[in-house]
Amino acid sequence: MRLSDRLLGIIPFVATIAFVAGIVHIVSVLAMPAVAPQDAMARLSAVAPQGEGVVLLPPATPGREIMPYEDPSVALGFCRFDLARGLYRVRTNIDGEHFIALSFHTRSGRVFYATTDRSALRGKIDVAIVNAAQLEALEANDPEDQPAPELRLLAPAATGFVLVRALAERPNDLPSAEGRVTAVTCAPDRPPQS
Amino acid sequence: MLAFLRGAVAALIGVAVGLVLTFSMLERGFGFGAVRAGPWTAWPRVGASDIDPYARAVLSRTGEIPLAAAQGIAFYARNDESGAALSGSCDYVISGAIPASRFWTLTLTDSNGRLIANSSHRYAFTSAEVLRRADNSFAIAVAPAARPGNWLPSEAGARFVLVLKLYDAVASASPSGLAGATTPRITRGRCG
Repeated sequence: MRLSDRLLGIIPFVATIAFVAGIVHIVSVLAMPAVAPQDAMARLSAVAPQGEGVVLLPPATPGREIMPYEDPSVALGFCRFDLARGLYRVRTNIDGEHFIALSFHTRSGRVFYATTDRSALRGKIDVAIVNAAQLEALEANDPEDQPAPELRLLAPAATGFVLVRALAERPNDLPSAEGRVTAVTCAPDRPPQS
Repeated sequence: MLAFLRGAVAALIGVAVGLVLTFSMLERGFGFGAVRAGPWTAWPRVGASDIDPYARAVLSRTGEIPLAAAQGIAFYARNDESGAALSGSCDYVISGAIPASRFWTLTLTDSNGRLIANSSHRYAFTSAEVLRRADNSFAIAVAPAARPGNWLPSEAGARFVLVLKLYDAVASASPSGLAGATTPRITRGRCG
């Protein structure tokens, strides 16, 4: 067999490898958020397997961090939501001076909304996380001519978490920053029983 | 039969190559959308809802929760301004301007984002606590052994990462405002 014939014979073999490798690469990257065992939600759930409301995370110290690149100057807390159990309300009052930030994430950590005290209206943050049906039900009950009392966030997934960050400007301020985290109220809003 | 075997071998090699490619891409970090400013790199889109699939995969593997774009921006430095890897074998001085923000924090971690234990329990500086000169400028010394003034301890001989987080950063809303932002210098001093 001539050399050029042998090279031609290899082409389908190499093309098959490239084709399969491309598909496997794309599928594995896209599947990673669904299969990764140690994603943000798994790490947070290990701290508090159960419970509604805000969970304060222990301060970041060497060997006790929950996530990588945590900021040791920030008090962290989280609330987890599951819209199958009703829309989810997140509320806190703002003192106008101290940094507090809420970010809304899907399981894998992707941000779908975020806010800080700077952009709060009327001295408070008041958010309802909803799915399409819950949004419709809320809007059906809205009084006419009035703006919605809260910010309504259409979640891209039924489950996820809200991360609360409060900055401690100095190490001594950590307890008061933790107090601002635990002052956030999160709770599912169950449909009225009738 | 031979053709079938060749096809099966090609498919198996393809699966292996695809997985190796995925692994090596994810090991390299967030990849796309990097904004460089001096020795610092930020990935503003990682904290936005239009995050790319690679960065999403990286987040779900490491468990890192990014700072959302509306809240601020994180800059990471693995090298000094000459391009050499940051190492606990050398002393460094961080000085100069910080991009406009309400607060900033500077944290030292190992290459996996974990804090490094040290006897003075100092892992970070915030904009409120850093000691400043009369003209409001500051310098932070990064070294394994104690230094006067602002001292951020590193671990002797070990690689490390500096993370500069800007909270309520003025420029974080638009990535174009970040490129060319005046970031602090990381100057290497003595190695030994």
